[in-house]
Amino acid sequence: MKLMQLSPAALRRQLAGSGVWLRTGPFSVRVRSRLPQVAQGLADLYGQFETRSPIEAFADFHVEINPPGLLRRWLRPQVNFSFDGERPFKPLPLDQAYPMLEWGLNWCVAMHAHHYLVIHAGVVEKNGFAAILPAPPGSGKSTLTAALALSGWRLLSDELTLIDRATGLIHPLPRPVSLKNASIPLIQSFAPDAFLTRAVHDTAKGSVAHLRPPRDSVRRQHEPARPGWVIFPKWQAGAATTLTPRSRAETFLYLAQNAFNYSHLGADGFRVGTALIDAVDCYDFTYSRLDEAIARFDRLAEERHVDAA
Amino acid sequence: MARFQIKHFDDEAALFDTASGDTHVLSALATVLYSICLEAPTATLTDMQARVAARFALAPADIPLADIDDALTHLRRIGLLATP
Repeated sequence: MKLMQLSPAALRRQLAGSGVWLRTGPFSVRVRSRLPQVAQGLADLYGQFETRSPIEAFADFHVEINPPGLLRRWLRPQVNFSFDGERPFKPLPLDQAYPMLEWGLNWCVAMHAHHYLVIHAGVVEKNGFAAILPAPPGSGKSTLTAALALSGWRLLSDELTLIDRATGLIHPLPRPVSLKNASIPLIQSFAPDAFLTRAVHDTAKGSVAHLRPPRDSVRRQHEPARPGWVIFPKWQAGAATTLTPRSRAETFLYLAQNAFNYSHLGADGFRVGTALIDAVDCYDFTYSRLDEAIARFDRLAEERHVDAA
Repeated sequence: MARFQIKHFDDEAALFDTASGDTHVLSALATVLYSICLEAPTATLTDMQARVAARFALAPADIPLADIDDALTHLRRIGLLATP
């Protein structure tokens, strides 16, 4: 069944009790929380996701997001994220409970999914080919990922690119897109019908809101994609839309340095990463207007589609 | 297993050192110099300059000896060439 089929009361009750089981891409997670804002966040963002009995179904990750001791309930209330009973992070202010759950789930995948090469990059797909969007913070990566996902591209992930070590294919993890600061009103005005959570302010990343993943991306979350491009986006005020080829060796090095588990995988990380670069075209991409950026990406997808045919 | 794994991309190369776990990128010049060192281990700097120039279809004077020296230093530092 889908999460949206649970009533709000049943969702809160299950979350506070045995937990809510969710399937996100290749992973299953069991979430427990007594916090109403976590229940609301899940209802708002994960309605289309598959859920099962948390008692009967196996879960890769068991996570909990709850307030610490009694005193902290009243004095500057805080929230803790725990994974298999361990707390990998310091507590955060209570109003950051939902973002903390998303960050914690990213951490679970990044630290444990070693059957993939896990690269810190957004990734979207069209016509069967995936565009990997790595970039430093502030470059507009999540904004562009969100805009593409709202314009006919399939969202595979806004943060974690999962390269299957056996096949080289990219596996989707289409969870909510984390938007920060100026990108929140930008995406609201770009797609007024898209659902975003209310922004949480004063986090370590500034103001944060989450975009609900498109229904089709969730429906196709078990359908991997072939790598097509690695594109480094850079938003620059007033800049013309330009796409320029970049060094493949340097692109490989950047991906290796921005993979969560490249070092852990050793020589196999090198093999998987270089095979990825063999399969893609590498570009730098500068833009200031989302509509022009999307049109340029659409042309790339069309060219690849024609070549493949 | 060989200590180094090399993957060529266009004129450049990526290199994985299985001993240290380090990854490096070789510039086009360093990549050519490495292959020259394998082919002609006793080549002098000026020999190398001439061979590099021929590979890139340039005049030897277009390849400064200092650049060759820097690239060789890089190859030695990462352990791909033995220190003389």
